[in-house]
Amino acid sequence: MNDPVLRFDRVSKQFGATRAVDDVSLEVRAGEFFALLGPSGCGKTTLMRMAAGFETPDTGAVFIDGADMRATPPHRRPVNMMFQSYALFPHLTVADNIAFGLKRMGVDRATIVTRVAEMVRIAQLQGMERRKPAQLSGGQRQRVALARALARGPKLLLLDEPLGALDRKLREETQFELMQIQKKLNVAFLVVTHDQDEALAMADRIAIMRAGRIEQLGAPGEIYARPRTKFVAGFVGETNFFEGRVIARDAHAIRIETPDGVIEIAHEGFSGDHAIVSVRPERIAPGGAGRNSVAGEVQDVIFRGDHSLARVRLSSGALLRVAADAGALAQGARATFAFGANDGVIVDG
Amino acid sequence: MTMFARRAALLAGFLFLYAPIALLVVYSFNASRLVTVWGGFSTRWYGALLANEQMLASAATSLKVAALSAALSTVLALMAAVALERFGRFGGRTLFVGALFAPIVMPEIVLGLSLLLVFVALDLPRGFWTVVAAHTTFSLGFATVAIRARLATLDRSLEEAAQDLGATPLAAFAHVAVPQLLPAIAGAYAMAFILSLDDLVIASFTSGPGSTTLPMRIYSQVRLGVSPEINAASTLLLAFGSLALGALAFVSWRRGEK
Repeated sequence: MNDPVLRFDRVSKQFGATRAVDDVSLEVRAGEFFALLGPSGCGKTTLMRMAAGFETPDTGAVFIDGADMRATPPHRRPVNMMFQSYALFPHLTVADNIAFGLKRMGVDRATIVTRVAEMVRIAQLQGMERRKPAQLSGGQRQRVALARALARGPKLLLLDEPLGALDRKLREETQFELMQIQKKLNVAFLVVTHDQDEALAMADRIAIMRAGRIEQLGAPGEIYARPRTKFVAGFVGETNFFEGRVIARDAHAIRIETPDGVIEIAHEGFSGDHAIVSVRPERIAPGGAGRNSVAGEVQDVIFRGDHSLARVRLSSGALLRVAADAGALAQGARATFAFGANDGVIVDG
Repeated sequence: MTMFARRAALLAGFLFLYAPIALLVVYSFNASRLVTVWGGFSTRWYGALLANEQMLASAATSLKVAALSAALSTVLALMAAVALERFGRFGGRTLFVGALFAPIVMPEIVLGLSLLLVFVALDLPRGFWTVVAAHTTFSLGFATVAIRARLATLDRSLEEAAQDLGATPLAAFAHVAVPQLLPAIAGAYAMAFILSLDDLVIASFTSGPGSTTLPMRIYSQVRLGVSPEINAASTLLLAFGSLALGALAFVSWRRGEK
């Protein structure tokens, strides 16, 4: 088994009174697309900067390719980083920006020229070589930053909010480009993002961070379908929570008394006597059929193209989010909504 | 009418500021020996000036002092700016800031006198190098202000990116920060150069025999009576300063264009 390209071993970092990173252990495997996902201030950027060497952990260690990096300054680490602001050198041309890291390696001119040409081709920057960053569009700048960071051929690339500065349309296009380049060059990507769609779309594995800790780590599908905590369920995708006392249980299901009636949810070894259940909007169907049903009045409907998202005021006063076919729900209508015992997931508080 | 009044006010303002200087320039081309009587156009005083070896020697001294002290204070100012902007709170920082910027507010006469006392106490023979040292001290604060202002606005992530790409912190500063500081560094140099070039008070206290600067020479000659030759020298000094400023403005304009 190969060493992981990057390993955090119980790292912590304190800034003043806040614990930015709190006892985090994490591995990024070779060739993997890994996303650190979390709200701003959760410590994800600090964690990434520790890998680059711009922050030192108070305790714990960072290993790159199996080597302890605690005493290695940023310029000697075999990783490269793409900065959120891109940090392109404004006084250098596109070609010189890309060549910057190669020149520090002391490789000969001919190699630099061929390598720059190769990166220009990969990043589709042909014809831009002699331009200065100020003469480029946002998307082009992003590609120069990527090409520059990849030019030294790192095994691991750190990307800080790589799509954050792009507009919506360009962002999706760039997602595909990033994924293609990552697979083609077989470089491990560690991406920091606060955008759950971005992480779900691109990453092989996601670590959800909250207040300096990793709340859940897993494949996108797994995290979406089986969030472990209330925070993860709410942060990744939209969801509804039902909460209450467990009033009956057998080996496969529990019954919970919620303000909107008793609901039955499948479980595997849940032993508490108070439960929180997350039910995704698309798992709830308007109409009667289903093990659990709740009633309410449709408060408003948001048209989303292929479907609509309705917010339903339940009898307890809580709002229920329901995804339905466009036009199926009308504002002000009273209806019942049903979901099965397997449509909900029990999460920690 | 208000339009006319505004124009007139502007004209009056400019006249107030520049008429004396214009007069000086005009009279430097006066053929007459009498300063206040126009005797026709002539460049004879420029010729006389070029034959005046004392005046030429003083001009050379002034230019050398200005070039050297400006270079020294720019280098020191860059270092001081880095210390203030990049090293956080270090012991004695407040004292350092105070010492750095005190010469800006200190009366020149006090600065000149105190420097003289130091040189006497150290038993340093006064001459070219004491003037250079004095002017470096005096212009350091101004140069630091200019460089520090620009350094504070530099995006730190640029240097981090350079380090990430394999540059040592020093190389990152040299390759990435310095090119962006260049207009500020040039500005600081020009400011220190001009400050040194037209300083009379501090130079009077700190110079010695054989290191008379141009302002000192002009001042001492004027006490014997204003001669058209002095007008010519002042005009040249003016032209030199304007050219330096113009070049600087052109450089920063070109950078802004790009």
